[in-house]
Amino acid sequence: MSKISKQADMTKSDGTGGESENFSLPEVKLSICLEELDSSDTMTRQSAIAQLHDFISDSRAVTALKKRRHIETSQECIADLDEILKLALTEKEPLKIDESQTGSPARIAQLWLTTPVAQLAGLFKHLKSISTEDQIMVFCEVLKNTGETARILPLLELSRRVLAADTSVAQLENLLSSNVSLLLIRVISLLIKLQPARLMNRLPQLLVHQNLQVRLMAIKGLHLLSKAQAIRLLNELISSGNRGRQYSAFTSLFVLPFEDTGDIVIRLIESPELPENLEHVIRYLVYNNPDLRFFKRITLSYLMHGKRIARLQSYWHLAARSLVVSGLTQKSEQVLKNEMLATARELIRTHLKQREEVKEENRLPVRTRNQKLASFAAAEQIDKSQTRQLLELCSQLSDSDEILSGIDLVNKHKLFSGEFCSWLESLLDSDSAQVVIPAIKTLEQAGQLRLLPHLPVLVFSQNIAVASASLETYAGIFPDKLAEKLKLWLRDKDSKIRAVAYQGLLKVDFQRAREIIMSLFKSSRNIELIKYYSPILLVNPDRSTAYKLSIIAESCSGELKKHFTLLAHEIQQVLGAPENEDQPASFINDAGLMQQWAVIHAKIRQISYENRQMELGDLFGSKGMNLALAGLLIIAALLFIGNFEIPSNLRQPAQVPVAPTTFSNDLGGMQADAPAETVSRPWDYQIPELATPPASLYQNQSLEEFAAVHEELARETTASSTQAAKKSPQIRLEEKFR
Amino acid sequence: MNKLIHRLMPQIRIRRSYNRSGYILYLVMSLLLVWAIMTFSLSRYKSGAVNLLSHTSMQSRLTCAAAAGMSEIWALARLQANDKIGKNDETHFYNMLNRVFDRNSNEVPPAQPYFCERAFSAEQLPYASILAEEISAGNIEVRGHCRIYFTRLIRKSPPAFSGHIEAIVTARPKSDSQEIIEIKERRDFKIIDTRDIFDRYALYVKDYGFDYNRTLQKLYIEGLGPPVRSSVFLGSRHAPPYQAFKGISGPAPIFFDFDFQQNKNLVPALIGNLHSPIPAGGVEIPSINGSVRAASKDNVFWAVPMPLRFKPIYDRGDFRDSDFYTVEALQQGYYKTFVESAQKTSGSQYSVPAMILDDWNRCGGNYADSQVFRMVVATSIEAWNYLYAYTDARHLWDDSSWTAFAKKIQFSGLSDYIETMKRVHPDKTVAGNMPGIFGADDKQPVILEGNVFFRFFKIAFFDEFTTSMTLGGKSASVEMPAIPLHFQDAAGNASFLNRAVRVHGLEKQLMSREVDEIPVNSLFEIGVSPYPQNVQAPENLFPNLSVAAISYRYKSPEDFIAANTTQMADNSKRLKIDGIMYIESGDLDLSSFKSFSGHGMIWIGFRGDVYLGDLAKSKPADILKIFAQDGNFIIKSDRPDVKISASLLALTYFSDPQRNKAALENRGKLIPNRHGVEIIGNLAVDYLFLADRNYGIPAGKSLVIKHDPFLFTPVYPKWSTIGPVRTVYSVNASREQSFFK
Repeated sequence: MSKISKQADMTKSDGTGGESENFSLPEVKLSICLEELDSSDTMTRQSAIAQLHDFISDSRAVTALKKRRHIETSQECIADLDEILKLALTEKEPLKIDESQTGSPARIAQLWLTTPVAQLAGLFKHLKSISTEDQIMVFCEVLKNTGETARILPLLELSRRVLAADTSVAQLENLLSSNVSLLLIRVISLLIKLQPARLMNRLPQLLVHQNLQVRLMAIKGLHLLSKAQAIRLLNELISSGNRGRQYSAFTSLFVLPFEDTGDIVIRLIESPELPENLEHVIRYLVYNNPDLRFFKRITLSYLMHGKRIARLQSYWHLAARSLVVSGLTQKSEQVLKNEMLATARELIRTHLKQREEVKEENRLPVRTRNQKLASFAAAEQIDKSQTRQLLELCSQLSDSDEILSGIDLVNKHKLFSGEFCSWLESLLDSDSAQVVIPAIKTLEQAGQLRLLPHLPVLVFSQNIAVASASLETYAGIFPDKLAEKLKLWLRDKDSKIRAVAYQGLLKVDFQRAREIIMSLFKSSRNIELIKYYSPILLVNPDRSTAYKLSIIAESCSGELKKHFTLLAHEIQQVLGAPENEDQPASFINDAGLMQQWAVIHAKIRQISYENRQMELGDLFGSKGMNLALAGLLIIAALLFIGNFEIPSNLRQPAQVPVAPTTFSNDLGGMQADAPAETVSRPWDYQIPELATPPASLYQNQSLEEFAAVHEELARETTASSTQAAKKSPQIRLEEKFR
Repeated sequence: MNKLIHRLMPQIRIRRSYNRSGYILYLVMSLLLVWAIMTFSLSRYKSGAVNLLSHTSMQSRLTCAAAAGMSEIWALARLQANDKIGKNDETHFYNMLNRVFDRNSNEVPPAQPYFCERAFSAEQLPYASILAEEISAGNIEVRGHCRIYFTRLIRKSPPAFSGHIEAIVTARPKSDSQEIIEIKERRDFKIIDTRDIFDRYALYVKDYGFDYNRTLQKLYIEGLGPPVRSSVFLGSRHAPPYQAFKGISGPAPIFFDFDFQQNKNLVPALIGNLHSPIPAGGVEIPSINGSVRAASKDNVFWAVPMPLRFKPIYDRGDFRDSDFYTVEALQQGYYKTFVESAQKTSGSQYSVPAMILDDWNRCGGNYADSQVFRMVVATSIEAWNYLYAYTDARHLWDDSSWTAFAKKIQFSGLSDYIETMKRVHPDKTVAGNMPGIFGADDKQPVILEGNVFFRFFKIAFFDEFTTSMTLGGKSASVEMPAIPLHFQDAAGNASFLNRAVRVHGLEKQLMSREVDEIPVNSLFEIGVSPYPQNVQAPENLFPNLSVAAISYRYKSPEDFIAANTTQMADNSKRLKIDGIMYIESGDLDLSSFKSFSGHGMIWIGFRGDVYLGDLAKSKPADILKIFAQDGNFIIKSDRPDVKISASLLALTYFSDPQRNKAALENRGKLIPNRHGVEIIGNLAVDYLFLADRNYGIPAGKSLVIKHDPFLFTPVYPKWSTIGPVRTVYSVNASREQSFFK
């Protein structure tokens, strides 16, 4: 273990974090990476390899990488290792560069593409010596012509002026579609620094990239665009049960502002098992990021789960200490702690109607009057026969004090045999809390499985102390079993059972409790029930909770929607998170990309790293299921058509005889079926018997007669018809004769 | 008294209290009594009102039944008025309305009103009877009666009448003969003859047209017959002021370029035309030169069957030898054949070459003074064979250059033709081909009225020859080349070339020339007919209309469309036509209508264009005429080709002295608007054009006019329109005052 661990141990031991400020973050990172390089989890190793790229100049890193290369079995890791080791190689003979070869940017680019990778370092030095414009040209030219990671990566070390040029950024953006994770990570990291808006289009794909490191980098990018979504995704990643993912996600805690990741840190601290090296880092983070909100939050957590999770206390102290040391508060550490404790208690008091906790009395060893018992107590060790005697004695005890003494003896001599367990079990039926609670504690050590059937009964004990103690034990040793029970008790109509469920939810790990509560929120319409359990979420404020509540709020209406929205809002308030956290970054607005962002944002909202349980409703709502159902329907229809004959009278409705009421205007006959209008021609029909009408018919009007008709009409019509000017002659024919 | 009361009161109270058990019966009895009194009062005092109510109710039902009967009569009248099925049924409205035309003129207006009538029994009003049965449980009987009064003759020949139809419907209860409701209603009607002089024309064009010979945009007429024959009139009003048209009495001639390949079906008719038939000819020119014979084959459609000796023509005509002294080709021939060879062979003083040279020197280049030349001319007149043939413009020149055929010396007689025509008739400088006036395959004869002639060309030359000539007492063989006989403008100097001669009864001049005297109409009819039959001023011909014949009047096209649009099941729109429908003015857009039904004319009296797309009939007997009196027909369609089943008449008439009637924008036109157009009906316009960059027919498309046989011989020459307005409406409920006297 490294020096880091030792330092961390020291910090841990004195609980003040006095030397935390001397930590070197790169050292911590390197140490973590080197440890993770030997992890059994492929993803963790991949993450470590990617991060070790930053330490490629460190011989420790290179040695470890080479060592790993020999034993690595994962193809992905091998590919990454090869790429990274290529960069680590440097040829002994420096590259001899001819003047003629580097005359122009095009030539340098050509040289870059042809020189062995190991010699690129020499060329890189030369490249850095030429003008910025030329560097940009070389950069673009190379990126256009190659997709080889080892040739591209060194170029990414060029100065910011080179990389920030529009053409360079455009090339970098093209690289986002690369499938080499190592390259992708570097490019995303660069773009985050140069132009985060360029990442926008590819973000939805990058966020679900198969490589976790890429995802994390994408989350980092997303943090610039939408803080809320980034924190959510990070939260989801860390909350996932996958340890490898947690480790990897952990590194993000360094790169994102602590005020945004504070609640994630709290979750980590609250998590049942925290690996040692992570603990060191959390200490580092907590100590180096004095934050009043975090302190408030950890105070709440300390009050809520302090008993269960011992380490919370030391972190609480550390957070207070960091605030005092940083000078963010003028108060003394103790005053600060007291004030914050009072505030947090008040908050809990307003939100939780906790059963009165019975203060555990420090029971003084009773001086027993039973001589036999006293003799057993005096004995340092007891043999088998004595054990039998003690068992007999115990089974005859009836006085509480004597029973307690008996229990102490069992504890003292570690008498966890089945017989003693049976005796202890029998004590659980006692009315005295003084007896039951020590019996539970002892049974916890003696035979957990024997205790298990009793716990669901004991939690409903009339005695509050017994109930509380048994619930705590239940949560402590059988969290899964308790969770199962809680799911049942949660909805019970009996208020007593619900009260136990409520207490149980407070006792279990918050993430588990939240999962149970959320599933209730999603499925229940009982607003009273929902309101009953809501405070639990409030006293464990978490961004992730607020986000989930807002999602649930979107899918419901009325009172429920109002409640969920309010609850989410309150959680945000407790967290001190700004209201408009989900607002896009200002540069998106400035770049006029709001509409584009809206589409991408919607896509990102769809992304989740949680293992969602698909509900029946979702299943039927899913596209695949619909397609499958449609397919089944078609097959059923085909089978039906194939196997059954439809009666002919069903196919065609019976013809109702229609009386010939329609008379034809055509040639005096019945109406013929008219052909389609567009193709209708007179000679599709029988032509009338053509005969030249009499000449008298063609009596034509003289011009005078026609003029008279015209005049008559003109008199009858309005003046506008005759006098209005013709519309401007739009149609001017080619007048051929002019 | 008081004392008595005071004594009795306690007793009464006691008795009442004693009898309290029967008071409910008492109460019920009292209420029944009140009810009985009220019922009695109602029956006694309100019976009149109840009677009145039932009476009114019955009258309402009777009115309802009568109104139903009336509606049924009008429905029948409308349905039957133009239904030929009832021509032999005396009770059918078609028969009743058309009966008037069979009457003696003394029995009909204006001599006297004429009426006919028809009674409707309950069975003849089935729907009204069903309604009556439903509302009265079979107690009401509906009967009707109608009279058709012809009160006015609105056109003498062919006769057209107007009048009114009066219908009376009686509804009465079967149970009570005293009650009655009678409704009397009157509506006007018109029965007009829709036929017109334009019906017999497939195409009627008043103005001189320039586009008849277009090769890329064609006009095709598909006429009717036999036994009838469609007419086409092509007028020449507003003809351009070409020099060729100066001094012409009558309409300016229109020429159709005859293309003997494209119009091969017309060649026999042309040769045997009724104006000046051409004798049978050959297919190649019978020159002694084989190459000439070969060159002429397929380039001429008629050639003289054998060489014609020129001498008899010379003898018949008023020629002189000196006529030929100036013929340049002859001079050149002489010079090359005689003078040049003499110069080369210059022999002794008395040799023939020496004599020729001596003669040449003496004449000083003036051929007319050359003795030898004169001898050569005299010899040539004896020896020449006169050859000619007919060809068409397309074989002579191709756009702006002469064809190889035309460049051959023998066929180069028309070399001056173009230059001349540029001056006198520019249209003739273009080689085109005639419109398909006789159908697309030239097999459907029509009567073509107007001054329309064929144009094709005669190429003529004197064939080359070899003869022996005695010169200075010595016989010498002389070879003279062929001499093309050049076209000479009639307006220029007269020469032997354009001097009148008689050859074959057709050829009147020796020279090569255009043949433009054969009327197109003479192919199937006798000769040229410059004007429409019985019409002296074709430009003054308009549809035969009168204000009295108008059935419906609309202020604007919008009103017309709103009143006459039928929405079809397939969402297309159908136009309803019923008699003469007059629209005052405005642009009428019918492009959205896919079809029409009915029989009649849309008449836009004043300014207004008509926009048309595809328009079909709903049944063959439908006839639509559209008369744009001061506007154009403009094609408006998304499709490249439109088909319009209507008679389109754009014949401008206005009385505004401020407007120039000759201005192109004031003439009625069909504006194809870059569409191929097919008209099933006919077309009458002031000015017909086909080609125009923006508004003409696209290259490769055509204007096809198929003369509608139903237009020529309508199924319903008489069309009845029953007005939608009730001019009289009255209701009678009194039996004594019955409408029936």
